[in-house]
Amino acid sequence: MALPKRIIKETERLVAEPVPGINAVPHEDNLRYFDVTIHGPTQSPYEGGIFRLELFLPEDYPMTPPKIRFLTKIYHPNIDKLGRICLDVLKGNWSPALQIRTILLSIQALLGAPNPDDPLANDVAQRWKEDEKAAIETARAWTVTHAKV
Amino acid sequence: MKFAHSFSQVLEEEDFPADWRAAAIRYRELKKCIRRVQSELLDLGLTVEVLKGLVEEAEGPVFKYMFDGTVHSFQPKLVLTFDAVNGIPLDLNLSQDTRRSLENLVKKELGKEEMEAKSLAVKDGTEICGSIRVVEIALNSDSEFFHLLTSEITSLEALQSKSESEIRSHVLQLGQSITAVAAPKPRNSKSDLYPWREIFRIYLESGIFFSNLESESHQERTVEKAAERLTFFTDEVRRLGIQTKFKNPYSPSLFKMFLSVNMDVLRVMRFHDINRTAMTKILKKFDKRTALGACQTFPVFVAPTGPLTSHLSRAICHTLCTSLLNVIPQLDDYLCPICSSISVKPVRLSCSHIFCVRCLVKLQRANKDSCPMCRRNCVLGADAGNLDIGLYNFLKEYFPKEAKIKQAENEREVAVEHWKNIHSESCVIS
Repeated sequence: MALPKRIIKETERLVAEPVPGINAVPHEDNLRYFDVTIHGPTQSPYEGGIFRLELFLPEDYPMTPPKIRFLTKIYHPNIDKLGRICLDVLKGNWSPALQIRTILLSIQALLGAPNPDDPLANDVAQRWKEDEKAAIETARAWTVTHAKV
Repeated sequence: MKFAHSFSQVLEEEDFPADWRAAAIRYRELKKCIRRVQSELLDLGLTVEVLKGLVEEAEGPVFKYMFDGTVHSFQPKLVLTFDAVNGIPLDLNLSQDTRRSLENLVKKELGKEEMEAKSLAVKDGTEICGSIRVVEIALNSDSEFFHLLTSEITSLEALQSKSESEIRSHVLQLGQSITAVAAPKPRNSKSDLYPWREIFRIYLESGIFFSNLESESHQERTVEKAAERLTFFTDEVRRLGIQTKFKNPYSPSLFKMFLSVNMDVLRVMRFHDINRTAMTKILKKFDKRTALGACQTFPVFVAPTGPLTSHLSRAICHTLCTSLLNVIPQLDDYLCPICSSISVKPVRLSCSHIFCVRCLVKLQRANKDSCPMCRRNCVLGADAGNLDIGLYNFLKEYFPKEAKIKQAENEREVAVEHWKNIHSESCVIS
């Protein structure tokens, strides 16, 4: 089926005017499937890391949100072992006026502001609440191990 | 010598009008003037080295160089403060040499007794006892130099605002003429709506005087960059053969005028750019020879925002956008935020956000009540009465082709859905 105009336009703009620290490239054989990298925000435990994600635009996008998952291992209370992300705008708070670039920006912001009160990875969130310093240290160590090129 | 040479060369080579060339900064003359300033200071026993020492070492009011008065009438002068009794400068940090030359200067000036000297009692004189004296030395060649420079700047600024208003009135006229040839059918059987829209779209995308990229925070372009982008724009228009699509006999000449207005802006920018450089260079030279720090103080004295920094391109671009480019609506401003196609038929929700009717129907079917833009719960309440008829007619008039295609797509989509429904029903029955 032909690619909707909306997806074509978004892709064009992502290429022409990339968001700083975020890179999204569609697969040649499936233009709804994107390889994404996000740079860890400065002054966060993810600083210096480059995180790989996959992004898929379902058939009824933008009526339903894109499906996004971290491929790089990350220690974060709102991201689980499988890379699934707990973010309101990817679920119930999705709006069809949001875009790939805005949603990737939200994810980058989530890295800068972990929210252990709304956890997806329970063990990580627990640790984050009990000993934030140690949790941040672990997050930093994981970044070094898994997210450095 | 190098800059003086290239400066006059640029003024010669570019086709600047005679009155512009006359108003340009007289760099060579100012340079000669600096020499006179230097010898005047030397007569006072102030070599560059001594002045440098004074400026660097002196604290507070011992030694001050200032512009006294207003921009229209001012006098640069040296102000010396010293002990009234023994004529010793009131600063203990001065090095031996500097102190000696200053003392000499004071003696000399006092000896003449023609300078106006004031005795002042120190008001909160806790540190210094007794009285202090202030001597002001007016600098004549220096005054000549800065008056010359100031009058140059004034005439340049007058010229700049003159060319600005000239260009602005050109732009306004051009805007009216283009509106006439690009008015949509049926009022205008030879409408060049589409070619002009295409031209303006490419123009906007070229980001000639300003970067159109968010990442460059829409910066103002340098003259060179603007020239480069303007060439890119003309090449692009030629490459796409837009001029061959003109039907109206006036359009080609209007396009030429459009280009020449842009060239005019560029030329004004270039002229003022080079003059600004000349001003900075001559002030730097002045400071190098006198160490008086005019680079810092003079521009602020002449104009709080700095002289010759009028945002010409900003002002003209604003006029260009509001009275020229806006005469033809661009599709990008009328896209449905959901499907990124033209919002036909446009539905305006009670929160005043607009979507195309197809996307709105899809939202309603999915039982989504919150507006995609502002999340206000007003989607399900929308009905036929929310169709924005004024906008609908406007879109049909200005975007006839796009509206037609979108309408056809909508109908096709409805038909497909309809067929799917029948199909699934028949499956259930069988």
